[in-house]
Amino acid sequence: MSERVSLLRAEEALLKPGVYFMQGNIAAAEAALVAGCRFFAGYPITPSNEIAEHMSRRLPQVGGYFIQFEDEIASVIAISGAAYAGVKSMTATSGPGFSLMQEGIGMAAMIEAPIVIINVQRGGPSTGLPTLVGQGDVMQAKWGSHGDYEIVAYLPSSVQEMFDLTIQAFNTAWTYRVPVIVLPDQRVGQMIEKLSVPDYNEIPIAGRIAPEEPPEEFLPFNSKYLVPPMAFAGEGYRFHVTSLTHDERGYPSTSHKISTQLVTRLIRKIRDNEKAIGRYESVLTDDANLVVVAYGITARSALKAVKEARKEGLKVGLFRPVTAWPFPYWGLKEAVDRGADIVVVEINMGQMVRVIREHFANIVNIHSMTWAPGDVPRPHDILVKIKEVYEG
Amino acid sequence: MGELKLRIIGAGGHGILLAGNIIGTASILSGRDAVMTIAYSPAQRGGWSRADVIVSDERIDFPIFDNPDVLIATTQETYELEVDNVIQGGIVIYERDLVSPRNVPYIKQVPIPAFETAIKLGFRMSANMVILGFVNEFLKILSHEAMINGIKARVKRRLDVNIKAYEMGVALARGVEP
Amino acid sequence: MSLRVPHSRTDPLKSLLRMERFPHIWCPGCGIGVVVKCFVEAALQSGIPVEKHVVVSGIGCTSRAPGYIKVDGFHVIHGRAIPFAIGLKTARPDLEVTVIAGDGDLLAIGGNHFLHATRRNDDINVILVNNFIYGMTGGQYGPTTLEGALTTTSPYGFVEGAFNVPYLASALGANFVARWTPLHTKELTNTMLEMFKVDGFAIIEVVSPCLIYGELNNMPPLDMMKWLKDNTIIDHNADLSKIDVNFKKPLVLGNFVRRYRPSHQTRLKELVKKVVGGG
Repeated sequence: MSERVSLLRAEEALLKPGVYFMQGNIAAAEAALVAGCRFFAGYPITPSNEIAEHMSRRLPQVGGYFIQFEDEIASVIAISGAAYAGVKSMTATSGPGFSLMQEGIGMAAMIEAPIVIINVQRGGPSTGLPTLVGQGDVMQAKWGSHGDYEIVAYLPSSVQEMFDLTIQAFNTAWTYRVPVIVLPDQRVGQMIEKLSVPDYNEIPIAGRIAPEEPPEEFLPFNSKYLVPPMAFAGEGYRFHVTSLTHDERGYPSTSHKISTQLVTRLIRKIRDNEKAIGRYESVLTDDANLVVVAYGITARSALKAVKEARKEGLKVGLFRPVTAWPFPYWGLKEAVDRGADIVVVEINMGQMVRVIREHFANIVNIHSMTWAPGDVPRPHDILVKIKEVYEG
Repeated sequence: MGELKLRIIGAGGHGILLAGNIIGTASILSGRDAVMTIAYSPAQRGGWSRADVIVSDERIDFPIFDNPDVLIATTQETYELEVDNVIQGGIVIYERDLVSPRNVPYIKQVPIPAFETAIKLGFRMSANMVILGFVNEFLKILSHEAMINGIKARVKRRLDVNIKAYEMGVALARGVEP
Repeated sequence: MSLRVPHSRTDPLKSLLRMERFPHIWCPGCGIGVVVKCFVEAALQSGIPVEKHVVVSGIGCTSRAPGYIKVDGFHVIHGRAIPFAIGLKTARPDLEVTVIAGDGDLLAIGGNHFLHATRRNDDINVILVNNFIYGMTGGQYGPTTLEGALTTTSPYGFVEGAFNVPYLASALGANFVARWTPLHTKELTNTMLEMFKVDGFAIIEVVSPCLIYGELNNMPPLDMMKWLKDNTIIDHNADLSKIDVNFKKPLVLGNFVRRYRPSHQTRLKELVKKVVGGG
């Protein structure tokens, strides 16, 4: 930004290292500022409003800009524009707004705009349960826009992770030039919990890879790279970008060869790096005969259920995907290597279980514990299911 | 202390969420873990708000609970909503002048004249601080120093009156059999 | 039709054209190519460094224009050129951001963005080429199609009304509103130069012949050009409520509105200064 307050001044205005009792949504907003976000575009929607409200107050303090747009469509498009002008940018929304953003997310994937979208999941479908929890957007996060593309989605399950994974989301977006979704549920977004902010020098921050060629040799979508270096508008490269299928120069093309080259690269830049991007947590899985798979707030309930089961002598563990996409199947493979059964618990009618079936059907037994949106399955509910499967 | 599940509920404007925030902040500043979840009545204006707070010596696995160890209710409506959810052997602390308790076996019920005390102080809005002082003295959640640090971290306006209200709550509790 | 420019001016214009992409995709008689030429002339004359000029478009015939202009260009999804342009301009206020798009893109699918960008007074330029129809998709009716017109989706005649673009933009508060045609190249170029100076939302409607519209409505581009040549009036002070496009009366052109309301981006910058205490 040309008329930015000095960086030193901005850093002084960031959240100081230390311990806080903070809401998840606000922790994500503060994290975005730490990651370097200086533009936020959004539209009011429950239960994500705290993010926009907080950004509207905090962004001017660090020399950034906040715009509340006329809808979620404009919001997600504007942050792609701002990213191409060289400014780290973000939006935040919930179910209905996330649906409206899908075409723009597809565009960001196609033009390789690094953007971050926080979708605080509420109960659906449609207007559904605006104030209550849901985890029904896991599949939409991956497949929501038309065509073939790859994105990255994180599943925070604590206020600490709202902070850590939002920073990580920016780093991933800018490292791979890809839209990245932070996908908490309403409970994780709105609960208030302990947050530890480390010293800034312990927080790695990624930026763009700048082109090395002179403008006349620069290809904005050079296929010799998996992730092409990115030029910003106004730097003299005078490049062209289109959301049509395009060649390395960024010009529209209907050639099948070009289409193959482009779509393959868009997919490969994430798939070839899935193990660098994908994250998970395994708890008590080493000797487990049964592994519960859960994420977000449900993982917190499942953890308690697993500990209860252990007290009763049942060898049960928890596998928590920290990235929904790419799904960390290699971590789950390790966790169930002994032939453990899998129970997938999620606040939807069975979404992530489909991915697990894709990888583990006919290898281990897979059970789905579905839960309608609106409330969180209690540890007791999960324990009943654990026992049913364990003893069944 | 292990783990304490505390539910604070009352009318909008009673400072319920601030009280919860202070307990949580004071807890983490003194090295404990804490988590708070918030709920509102369907009607936002003139309705109730509820703060569920867990304070624990260890990391809290699951932040949600249905049955509190301790319930604090400041209105009749919210008392009626929640009194049957308190665990057996649990404690209910209620606003003396706004709640007529009913007989519930296996729980201990303690009245507190929070509003009367706050009005005497000349600042009705500090009733939540009276409750906070009372509850902390009664339940020994944290040291008073730690709780006052929490107040200092969270309260921006009229800090001195709020701390005074807290101390009056502490004094009230000293006259009650735990 | 390839873009032919007089030899004496070939080199400077070519420096801002992506010559390797010619011939262009537009039909014979279409006015969009002339808009490109005028934009390139204006950009070169503007005194603004070429690397600071950015063009943004959505989807449609007009939206292909940035693909031929050798400045940073973004050809984004249908209807969303304006919010993309706002993102660019807000993030980098030193860019001169111009949206070049059609009536359907800007006023139908993108109508809400047009409405609010004008209200907010976002500091972007908009060149709206009005050809009365969705040309690229084969001739469906749009928000500026004239009543009674035949299109592929109004085979019995169009029964809705059309936007009066300058009247609409002025009512919404635009800082600069003009209307020209591809026959008025000198005026159009000069008006673009004026537009670049505006701090705030600026729009030029370019009423353009279209082969698709003409074929369906017995008005081939050449006839339309003749009509435009003979039936236009330049009146900068026109009553905008009376300047709707209607081939039964003369078409009114001019630079109608110039206001000095500070732009959204200027006010955002002031806000930051206020918050950080003088920055």
